[in-house]
This record gives sequence, C-alpha cells and structure tokens, in this order.
Amino acid sequence: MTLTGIGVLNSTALGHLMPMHVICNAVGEIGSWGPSFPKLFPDTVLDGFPLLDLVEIRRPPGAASADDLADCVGQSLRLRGLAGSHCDFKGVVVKLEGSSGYLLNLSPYGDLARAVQRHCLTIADFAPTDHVPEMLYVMEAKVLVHDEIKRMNGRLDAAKRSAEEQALTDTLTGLGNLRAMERCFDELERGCIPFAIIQLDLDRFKQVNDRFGHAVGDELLQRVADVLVRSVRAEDLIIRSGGDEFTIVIRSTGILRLVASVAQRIVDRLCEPFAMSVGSVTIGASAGVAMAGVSLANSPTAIRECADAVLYRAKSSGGGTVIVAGFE
Amino acid sequence: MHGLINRSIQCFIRDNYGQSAWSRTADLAGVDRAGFEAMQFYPDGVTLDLLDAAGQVLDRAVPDLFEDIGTYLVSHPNTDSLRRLLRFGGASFEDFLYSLEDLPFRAKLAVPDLALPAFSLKARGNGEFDIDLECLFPEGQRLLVGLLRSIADDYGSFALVSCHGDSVHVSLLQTDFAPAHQFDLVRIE
Repeated sequence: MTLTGIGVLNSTALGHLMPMHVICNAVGEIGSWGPSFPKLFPDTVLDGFPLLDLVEIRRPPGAASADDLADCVGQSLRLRGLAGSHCDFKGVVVKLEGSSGYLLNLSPYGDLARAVQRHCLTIADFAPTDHVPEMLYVMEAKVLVHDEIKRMNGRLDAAKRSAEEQALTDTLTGLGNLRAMERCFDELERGCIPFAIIQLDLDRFKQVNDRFGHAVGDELLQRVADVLVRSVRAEDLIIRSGGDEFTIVIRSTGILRLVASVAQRIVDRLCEPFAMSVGSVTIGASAGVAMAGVSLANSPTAIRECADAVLYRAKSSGGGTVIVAGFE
Repeated sequence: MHGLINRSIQCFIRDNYGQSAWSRTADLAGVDRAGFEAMQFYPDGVTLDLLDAAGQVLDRAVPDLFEDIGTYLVSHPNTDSLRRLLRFGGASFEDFLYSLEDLPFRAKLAVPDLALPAFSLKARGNGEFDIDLECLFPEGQRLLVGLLRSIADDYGSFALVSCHGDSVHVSLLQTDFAPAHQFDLVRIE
C-alpha cells in the first residue's frame, strides 16, 4: 500500500494501526485482514468470502452490495456482525487507489462488554490509540461507584427511618409520643378521615409510684401499654400524652357505640388487679370519648379537648367509668 | 480525605485481623464502629487518628502498616474490584509502571472527587525504575511498595521493590516469571 510521497505500509504496520481492519476487492471479496479480525468470525474461511455476508451496514441505510461501498467512503458507519457475531460496530471504509478495492476498519460499539466477551477480545486486540479499553475501565468503575452509592442511600434511608421512629416513640412504653400525635392529627385533618378519640387517665397510678417506687411504676406502665395495644386495631394510634395519661385515636370509624365499648373494655381491664413482683396492684382508669361529627367540634385537637372535658367529669365522679361526649 | 481511603484502612483491618480488632481500633480512634462511607469526605485528622490507633492495636509501626495495606489492596479476594481497575492500566507490569503517571487521572475517571498524589516515573534502563510521589503521610511511599510488589506478582513478573529515601525503586528482574493472575477486559460473573 503506497502513501503518496511518504512510503509504503506493509501488513504488519496496518495490523498495528488497525487490528480489526479487513480489505476486499471491488466486488466485495475479502483479500486480507488485520490480526484481530478473524476473532470476530472464527468459523469462517475469510479468503475470498463476501464481506457483506459477514457484516451488515446499518447506517447509512441501503448499503447492501459492494457497489454501495463507494457511496459510504469516509462516513461514520454503524455495522452489525453477522455469521454468529450479532454485535454492533462502528466503522469507516476507504477506497484503495490503484486496486479499486476497499479497506474497512472496525471497532466495537454500543454493548462493548458483550462484544469483548463474545469475541474473547483482549487489550492486544485494540490499537494503542483505540479507547475501547478505557471505555471498559470507565464503565466498570461507574458500576462499582453506582452500586456503592445505592448501598449508601439504603443505609441512609434506614438510619433516617430509625431516627424518625425514635423521634415519635415514647421510650418507656413503645407507644407514640406527642409528636406522633401531632403528625396523626395533621393526617386526619388533611385526609378528612372520620375518627374518634378516647382520653384515658389511670386512677391511682401516683399512689402506686409513691408506695412502690419508680421501677414498679415503670413496669406497671408497660403492662398498661400492653393492655391498650391488645384492645385496639393495628390502624389505631395509642399515645402516651402524660405521665399516666393516654390518648387513643380510633381511625376511620363513624360508630360511636363501638368506640365507647372499646373504651369500656379498656377501663374494665385496667380496674382489674395486675400481678406484679411486689404483689397484686390495682389502679383503675377513667375515660372520656368524643367523635368527630357527633360533637360540635371538628378538628382533632378540638375533639381531644372534648374527650378531655368528659374524662375530667368521669374522674370527678370517682373513677372507673367511661363518659361519652354528647351522651352525658 | 476521601472516604475510600478510610474505608480501605477499615476493611484491611477487618479482613486481615478480624472484626474485633477493627472495633478496638475504631474505639481508640474515636470513630463509629459502623465505619466509613466510601463516597463521603472526612477531615484529614480522622485518617491520622485511625492509622495511629491501628498501629497501637495491631502492634505495628505505621509505615509497616502502609506496606501491608498496599499489598492488601491488590492481593485480597475482597479487593478484586480494585485489582481489576489497576490491571486496566497496562497489558504487562512494565506497561503498568509507565501508566503510573496516569493514575491520578484514571482515578478521577472512576471517582471524580478522588485526588491521588502525582507520580513521576524515571526509567533508568535495564528494568530499573525510580518513582517519586508526594505523600500526605510520612513514609506513605511504603504503601506503593506493597502495592507494586503485589501487582508485579499479579502480572506474573518478578520484581524487587524498595524505598530509597522518599523514592520507590523497582528492579524488574523477569517479566514472565510465573503465569499472570487472570484478567479479562470484561469481568466474568
């Protein structure tokens, strides 16, 4: 091959420049090739084989025969390997002066990893100027970094959820705290969800605390929390709103009678004795119940105040009772 | 300091000496036992404290630790991803040495905010090379010593690597001394 005024490139030199090139004659029959080209079509006897039976020119469209190669000269080509390759390549074809043949140079394109694996390509199959190895490096590094970031986001998410949960939880009983109650009230108002509130107060808790000490008092509160949790559904919310005070939000309900019976069951159970390490302990409880739509008030805060008002009346009348707002 | 650096030290301690050695090091250094996030930044002082603590817990001088960490980064099964990324640098150990000057650039290609020190390679002929690098830590070059010895091995080459003052000296004695550790351009899952 002669370069005008410069000299001749022999096949070794061509192989260094373009390991994946192929040369064909004017009618498209393959005559010679670079050292890595056979790796693309290992089952084909290349000499004399029609080039366009090995590669299909996809862009520009319509290049189907050797005659069309002349129109493709110098353009950026997209090709697909046939004959078992099924990989995509970018390429360029030039005309050979004097011999009226063509030289087509190829490099894998698109799914590089697949092409490299399918054809068992190594660094040595790429020209020293070819950036495919760098592309593969960057692609591999990108996946590693991306995976690490995904994992980190997972850890951050879990930490965030855990922190949020902690912020909304009463440490001793595991019930909700006042922050959780505010959040619930916002949700109820935004969603216009029907609800009822039970305000609960333990009758003789302070005396137990004073008599037996805080450790027993704490254990008693945990036992009370257990009773409450068992008395309501999963979608209802129990808040420890004071030392021995609880607010229970019964969601999505319009049947006051049912809510009142839940409150009564709770009060009845809390009036029974608890078997503790210090012996049998009885505290009792009082409850006030209010429901949205029954009382005149509407906002959760106002309903709670209603329930609180009737709770006060229940306590004043000696404790161990439930009073329902609107049905006093 | 990029979290990758701290995390590498953490994994080195955990993988070579066990979870309990890591816990003791973390406690002594005043860092969370949960360790470091690879993609976040930490104050430089944390790395210094970590290295000092590791030295005390593992009863090793910090420069010796650097060399062990360098070896670990290439030769441990858990660090295969890094070994592969380094192997992209060259088809042979000699090519790899020549690519060391590109390492800061290649590191940035992988992790844009990872800044590695600049390397300068001088080929003396006959397989003799001198490498200079600016290190943030005293005797930090020992990390490169461990890493180069390990990667020479990975390429199947036989090389002597040592520190001479602030430089690292490499004598490449035999290129294909043993079969190279497998490296395919695309990772085989």
